[in-house]
Amino acid sequence: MSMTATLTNIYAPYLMTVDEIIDEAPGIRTLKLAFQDEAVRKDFAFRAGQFGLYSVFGAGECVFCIASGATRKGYLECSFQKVGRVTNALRDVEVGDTVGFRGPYGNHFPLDEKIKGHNVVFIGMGIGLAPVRSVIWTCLDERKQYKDVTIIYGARSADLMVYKRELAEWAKTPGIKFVKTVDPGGNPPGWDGEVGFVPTIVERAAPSPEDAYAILCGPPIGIKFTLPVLLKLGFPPERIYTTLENRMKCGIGKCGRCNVGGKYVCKEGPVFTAAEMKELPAEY
Amino acid sequence: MATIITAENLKQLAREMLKAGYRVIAPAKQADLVVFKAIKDAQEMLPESEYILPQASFKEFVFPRCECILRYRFGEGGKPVFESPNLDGEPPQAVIGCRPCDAASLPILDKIFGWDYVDPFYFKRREKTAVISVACSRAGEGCFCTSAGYAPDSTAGSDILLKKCAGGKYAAEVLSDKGRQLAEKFGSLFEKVEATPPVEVAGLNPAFDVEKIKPWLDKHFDDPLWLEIAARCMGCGTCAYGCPTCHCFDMVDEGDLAGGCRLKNWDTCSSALFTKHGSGHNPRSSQEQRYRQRVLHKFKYYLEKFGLRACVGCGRCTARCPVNLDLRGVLQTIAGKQA
Amino acid sequence: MAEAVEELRALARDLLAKGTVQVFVGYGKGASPGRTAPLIITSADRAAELVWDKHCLNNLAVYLTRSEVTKRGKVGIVVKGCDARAVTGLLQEGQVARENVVIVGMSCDGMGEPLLEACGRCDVHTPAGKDADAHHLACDYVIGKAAVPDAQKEDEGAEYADVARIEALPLAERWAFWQEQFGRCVRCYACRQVCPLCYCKRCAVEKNEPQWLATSAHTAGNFAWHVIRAMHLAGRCVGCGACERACPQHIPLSLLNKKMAKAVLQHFKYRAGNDPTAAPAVKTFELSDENDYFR
Repeated sequence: MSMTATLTNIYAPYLMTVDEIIDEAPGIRTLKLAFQDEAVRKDFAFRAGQFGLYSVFGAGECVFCIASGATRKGYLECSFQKVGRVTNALRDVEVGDTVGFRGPYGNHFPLDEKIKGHNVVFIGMGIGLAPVRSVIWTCLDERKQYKDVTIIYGARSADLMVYKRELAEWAKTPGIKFVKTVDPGGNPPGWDGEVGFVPTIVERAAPSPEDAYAILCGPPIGIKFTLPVLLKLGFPPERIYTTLENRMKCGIGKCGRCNVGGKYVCKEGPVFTAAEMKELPAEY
Repeated sequence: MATIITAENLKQLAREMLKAGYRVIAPAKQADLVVFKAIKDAQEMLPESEYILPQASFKEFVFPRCECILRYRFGEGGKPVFESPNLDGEPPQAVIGCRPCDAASLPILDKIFGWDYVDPFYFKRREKTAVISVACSRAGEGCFCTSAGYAPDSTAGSDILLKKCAGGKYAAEVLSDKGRQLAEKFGSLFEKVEATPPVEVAGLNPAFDVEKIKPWLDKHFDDPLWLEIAARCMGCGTCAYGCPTCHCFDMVDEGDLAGGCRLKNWDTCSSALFTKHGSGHNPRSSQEQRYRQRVLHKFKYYLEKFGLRACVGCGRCTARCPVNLDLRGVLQTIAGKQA
Repeated sequence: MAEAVEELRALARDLLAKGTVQVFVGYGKGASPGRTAPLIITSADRAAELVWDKHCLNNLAVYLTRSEVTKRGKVGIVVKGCDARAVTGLLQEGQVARENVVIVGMSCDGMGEPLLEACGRCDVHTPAGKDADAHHLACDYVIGKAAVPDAQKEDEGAEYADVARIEALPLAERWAFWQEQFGRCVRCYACRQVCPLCYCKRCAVEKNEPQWLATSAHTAGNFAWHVIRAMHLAGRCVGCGACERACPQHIPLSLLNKKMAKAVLQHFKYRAGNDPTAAPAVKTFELSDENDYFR
């Protein structure tokens, strides 16, 4: 028998039904997707931080993180902003339609390996909250396995915030220190949160680095300015985690597109520590 | 004991393989170029003396320039269904008459296409491909295989390696099970002789010490040398598409309201669009950053990941380049610098 | 040519040393036998690397729209008569500001060994200098004196003989010819990248909402690519031949561009790149234009 007889098509997606469409903010939408295949629906598992390639047949594939928690079975959520061909096609799908999903790919936040049993500080900026949200859900589903939980989230303005329902829940949940902020000028009348850029608010909130891990995500410029604040507060670079994104096509390390220096974001990432980021060239 | 095949029998081998249903890929003329062609007739096969290297590699026969990786259609209510193309019907194929540098590209490509996720499209074609290469009896002007860690008679990637000997014959070295099976199946075309006759293999002095390349690359990501070298690069894909080891690809859907294909197409890191985000942000927005990626990928990242450099020293990139960008010269310059 | 190269080197050295230009684009030693390569230098001491011989084929005007070059400042550029037409085109289309370029015209007896076919029909062996009239691009400097006289402006018969040969083929054969040619294209886009007039920041093939042209290298997609490129260059292509020389598959691309040029000449009496003050044919409508093709 030939050695290739049992090879599967690694580029073949799972077929997913669009179960729910949530408009998070102008231009930003979340899709809740259910696996059409019974067996996959039961068995599919992923780790928080991993991503997939979501496709509309005829338009192509696009990369987003898996925004739902790893503890939730049978479905996935992805959140995206409309920027081009595939994201526009994803906005045209309706509940009941079929899209494709390939994954889970990439590495993950080391919750089981490192972060459980410690304090966690989550920091999200704009739509960058999506991958962090996956970790937050997973963490809150196993709340007792973590110590203090802090969530700091900021967006340019109140209406651009994503996951508004959950933000309200987290604000009310005992045992979570929740801070929300908008950029100066982004606060509507009656705003009850902070006003200031996320790096400033992180410095003001001054989460303790004592026995704590920081998980942050946002646009490259947001990460660039928040990282030094965390370092200044005393978080060692090995305990600051972020997730990078880069242009991807195959998602599995073959098409040669997503590397930052010698690291493929799809294989050795997308989750990196600040210590690892320091070794990478500024090519992202 | 040695095995010999005459040049005439090599042609006959092509003839018999064609008859046996093989796709035979050999250097052949196309207008004023020598290219790897799936020949219809053994007469098309050029004798070894008429070429050093075809103008492009034979990688398109294991990694097509445009390949359907799934076929979809819109069924009931517009619901998409898809199927994966079945490559089991593809005929066996043999590359006859390639040079050892081209053959050596296969173990290199194996690494990326087999990294954790095994690409069935590449490996199914690869498995069906036998490689009968011919050692170089003379080196080309642009060749630098010996600098890249290979030689005019390297065995890497070949199933049978032929070396020119006297009287229009080749000494045949069988290097793999696949080669053994071929030599048996077409046994009447090979003859056994007592001793290996003297063979004609080109000598080629290395142009640079390849061990010096990575140490410099490790420390000089931001060196002004990149702008100096790459100032004239046009950002086309001539180098990548002729290169035996370049493997980067794009994935697109092409179709209509009834359905279509998801395609895997050759792509090149030299292109300005290669890393451009949907937001418009481009981590490699300038040509010298893209050229740097090419060199780093081949001589640092691939080496770190897979223990092989993604370059066999064939020199095609330089020869094909519209602005004659000289990779061998770039590497010579780098090797001459302090790390 | 030996004198010319010394004069060129001295001029380039001077222009760079005085800061008249910040970057100088000329020809330097190539890596492969019988080739030169574009040389882009920013310091006067590298002027000695400039060469000028029978292998200076590249059309350097393409660098006038590449930001890697233009971001350095004022550009000094070496042009042959044919290349100067591309510079004229770029000026007509507002892509280059005349005051940002110092144009060094080189007298040229023809390139290639053996002589390129197009060079045998050249009518501008010596580019016009500062004394040129307003209807010719005036190079800031002209080096050398051509030994070969300019060819007479010939009738279309000779100039477009190769186009006529294809036109004479029955449709089925013409289709088969182009199917075979385009089947070999690998979409390296060398043709586009070396073309001085292909300067669009976002090429038609890169637009994907909708995807007007397939990006894939199959025959149908390649056909569309080359035909659209020829259409977009109609009335703009100056016939320098850089695209055809760059094509690794040796596809006779100039046939397409010449077919377009022939049509533009016939219908609009216009040749691209000759007169910097001329209104480009495809950008202009005169009431006197032929319109018998409206049916």
